Amino acid sequence: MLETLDDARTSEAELVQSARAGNASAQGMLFEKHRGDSYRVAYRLLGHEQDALDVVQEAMIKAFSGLAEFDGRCGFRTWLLRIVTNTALDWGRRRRRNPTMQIGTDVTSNEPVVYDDPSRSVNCQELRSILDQALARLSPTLKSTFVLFAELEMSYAEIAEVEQVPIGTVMSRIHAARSKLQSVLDWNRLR
Amino acid sequence: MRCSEVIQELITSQGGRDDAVVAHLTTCASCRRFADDSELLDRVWTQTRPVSPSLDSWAQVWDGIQSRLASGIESHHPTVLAMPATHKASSRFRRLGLLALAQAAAVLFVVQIGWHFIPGPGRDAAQKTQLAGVSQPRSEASPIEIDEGPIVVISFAGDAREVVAADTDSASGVDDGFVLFNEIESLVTTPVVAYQE
Ligand SMILES: [Zn+2]
Repeated sequence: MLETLDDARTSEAELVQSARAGNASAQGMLFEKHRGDSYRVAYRLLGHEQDALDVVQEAMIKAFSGLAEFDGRCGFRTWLLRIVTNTALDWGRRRRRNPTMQIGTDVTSNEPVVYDDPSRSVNCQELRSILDQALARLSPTLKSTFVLFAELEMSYAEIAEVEQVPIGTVMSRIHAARSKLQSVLDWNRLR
Repeated sequence: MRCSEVIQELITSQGGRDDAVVAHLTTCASCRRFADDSELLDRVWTQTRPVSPSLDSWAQVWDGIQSRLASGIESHHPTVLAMPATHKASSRFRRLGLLALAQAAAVLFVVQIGWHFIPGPGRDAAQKTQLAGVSQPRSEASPIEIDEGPIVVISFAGDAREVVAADTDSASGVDDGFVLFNEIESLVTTPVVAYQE
C-alpha cells in the first residue's frame, strides 16, 4: 500500500516536473486528474455551473503558469485546491460587486428528489436554492472549509494543509459552519 | 455524556455513532433535534451533489487553458499564489467588521433608547427566549426579541430588523467570538448592531 502511494506520488511529481517544463500532455494529464474535484469545490462555492467551469480554467492557468513557485512540500492536489478555493472566493466577491458578470445558463436538474416518504418530494433545483441561500450566510472562510470537508470528504489534516491553518482552526470552522447552516436552513421548505 | 460533547461528536464524525451518543439521543430531545437536522443537512448535501460537466465542456475549458498559456496571458485577474486570498480577504473583512462594530457603537445608543420605550407587556414578551441564529424578520413596529446576557447581532435590511446571531452557544465548545465575527463578515453590506441586554 505504502509502495503504491509512493509510486503515485512519484508519478505525480514527474508529471508536475514535465508540466513545469511546459509539456502540454503532462499538463493535460494533471488537468484530467484534478478537474473533477476542482469543479465540485468551485461549484459548491459559487452555486453556478458556468462560473465553476470558468474558475477551474482560471485556477489551472494560474497553477500551470505558477508551477515555478510550487515547492512540492504539499501535494499538487493540495496546492491546486488552494488556488481553486481562492480563485472561486475572488470570483464570488467580484460577482457580488458586479452581478451582471454572471454568464451562461445553469443546467441544474429539474428532476424531483424523493425522500423516503414520497409525499415529501422536493424539486432538486429548489433544494439547491435552499442550500445555496444557507451557504451564502456563511463567511468565505467557513464556507470554503466546510465545502472541502463535506464535498471532497477531506480529513482535517488535509484541509489544514490546503488552507494553511492549524487543525484546531479547521475543526472550529467546521463546527461553526455546520451549526450555522443548521440554524439558517429553511426547514419548513425541506420537511 | 454532556450535550456539548454529543453535539461535538455529531458534527465531527464522518461515519457512524458510538453507543454513548446513541444512548444520549434517546433521552435528550434537544440533541435528538440537532441530530435530525444534521441528518437532513447531510441528505440535502448528498442530493445536490454537482453533476459532472460534459466532455464537450471540459474540452472547451482545456482549449481555453492551452490558448491562454500559449499566448502568455497568465490570468485575467492575477492573484498571489503563495499567499491564500482568504488572508487578504480576511484582513479586508476585519476592517469592514471593525467598521460595522464602530457603526454599531454609534447606533447602540439609539437602539437602547428605542428598546426602553417598548411598552411593558410587549417588552416582557420580547424577552422570551429566542433561538440563536434563527432569522426572524420583524416589521419596524414590532420589538426584536432577545435574551438577557448574550451579545446579539441585529441586521437592518430596509424596514426589516432581525437578530442574525447570538453568542449563546458556549456550551457547544465553539469560540463564540469567532462565530459572531463570521456573522459580521457575512453581513458587510447590511448595517448591523451588536447589542447586549
Ligand atoms: Zn443533549
